[in-house]
Amino acid sequence: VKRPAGARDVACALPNELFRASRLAGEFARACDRALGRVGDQTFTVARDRALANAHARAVDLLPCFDRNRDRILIITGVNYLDWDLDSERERARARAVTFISDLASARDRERVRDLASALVSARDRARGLASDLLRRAALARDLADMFDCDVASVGDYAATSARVRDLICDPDRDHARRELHRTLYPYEQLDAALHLTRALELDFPLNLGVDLALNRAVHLDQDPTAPARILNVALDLDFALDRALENAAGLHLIRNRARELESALDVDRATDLAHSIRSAAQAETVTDGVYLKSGRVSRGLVALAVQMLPAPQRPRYRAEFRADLVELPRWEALKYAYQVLVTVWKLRQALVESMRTAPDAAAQTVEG
Amino acid sequence: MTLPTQLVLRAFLAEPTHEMYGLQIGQAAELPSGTIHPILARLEGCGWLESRWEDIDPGKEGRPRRRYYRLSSEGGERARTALARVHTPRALMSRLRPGLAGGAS
Repeated sequence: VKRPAGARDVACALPNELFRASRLAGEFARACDRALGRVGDQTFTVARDRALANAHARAVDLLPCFDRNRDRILIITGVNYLDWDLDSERERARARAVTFISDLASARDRERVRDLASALVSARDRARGLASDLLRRAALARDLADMFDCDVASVGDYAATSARVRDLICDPDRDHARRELHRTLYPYEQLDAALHLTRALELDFPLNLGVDLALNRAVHLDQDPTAPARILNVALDLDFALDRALENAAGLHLIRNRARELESALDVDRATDLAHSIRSAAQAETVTDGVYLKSGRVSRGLVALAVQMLPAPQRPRYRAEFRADLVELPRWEALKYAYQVLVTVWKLRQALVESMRTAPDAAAQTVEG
Repeated sequence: MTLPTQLVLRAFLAEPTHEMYGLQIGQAAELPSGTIHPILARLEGCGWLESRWEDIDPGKEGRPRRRYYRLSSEGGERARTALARVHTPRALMSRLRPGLAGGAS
């Protein structure tokens, strides 16, 4: 007997086989009836004997056929039961898998992923909405950099700025003094804007990246039964990454606040002191080692300011290292480099402090280089 | 291990015996220059990197000495092991740095 391809085929074949078997059995019964009828009509005749012999012969022919079909039905039924058992086991395994997946990605977690993806989409839309503004501010920052480098007298003459600010403090016309203070300190406000731009760009890239990643995963949510669990893992990783980004942003915020001190017209002394330190550091950089430095004074001043935030033993090394990088860059690139060094110097400080704590001797040796 | 750290290590492992200075490393890893030095400081603190000053006369060369970094012998092995063990989604890596998606590890 050819084994059916599957339980469904066997189930379809079974009624036909039963029908054939019952038809044969009925045919046998009818032959017997016909034989008995002829027996009744031709009692004690030769025809009776012949009819009985025919009926017997017919029965003898039919019985093996009936037996074969009965055996075949039994085999098919057995196969059918076996396939049913296999199908049942398969269904039970599938049910266990579905239960397992459901446990992994409960409805609450799926909702959480969807909420997170929705929030990220909103955040990305807002970020994209800011794109034109960021481009405009980038152009402004570029113009500002040109202004910084080309008009050193107006921005870099901190002594004159300081004197001007001190005169304005004594100006009896307070409104006039306030207006003039803001005008005088406008370049510092632009410096802060450029720093803020750097920070915004730095956060924008990983945010877009994370959103795209989450969206790609979300697209497969309804297509793959194991997607919820994997998306949940991605979402948790993303959540962790966002926490770290926020932590970094908090660190950048501290640095930015220090730079923001420059634009405070009400805190003139601190502003002028900080400006003076930038100018002094920049002037010192121009003559160090007798090497000609083509990078702008502002860039070198920012790097010098950043170096001041490092542990004292490490300052000479990083001052020289940053300076070597600066001289290889065009002015605009040098300014960007200096900004990035300034806004990430707290990370460098953290790394150096940890290194000094774990291996103070080794760290001290690297300082001398 | 953070993704920028992985990128820096992959840049070094591309040419393990090659020395690079800060700007070169930033360009090789395609990372903003300001993010390079904290990573270098950590790796150097852990002993994975070694650094030295360039041996030139700044007056003759017309530029300051550079600080060169390279993988230490122990650091190379540890970096390979760490990168092989670290789990970074391939899609994420290919988005960040298409050239490093299947990269050295």
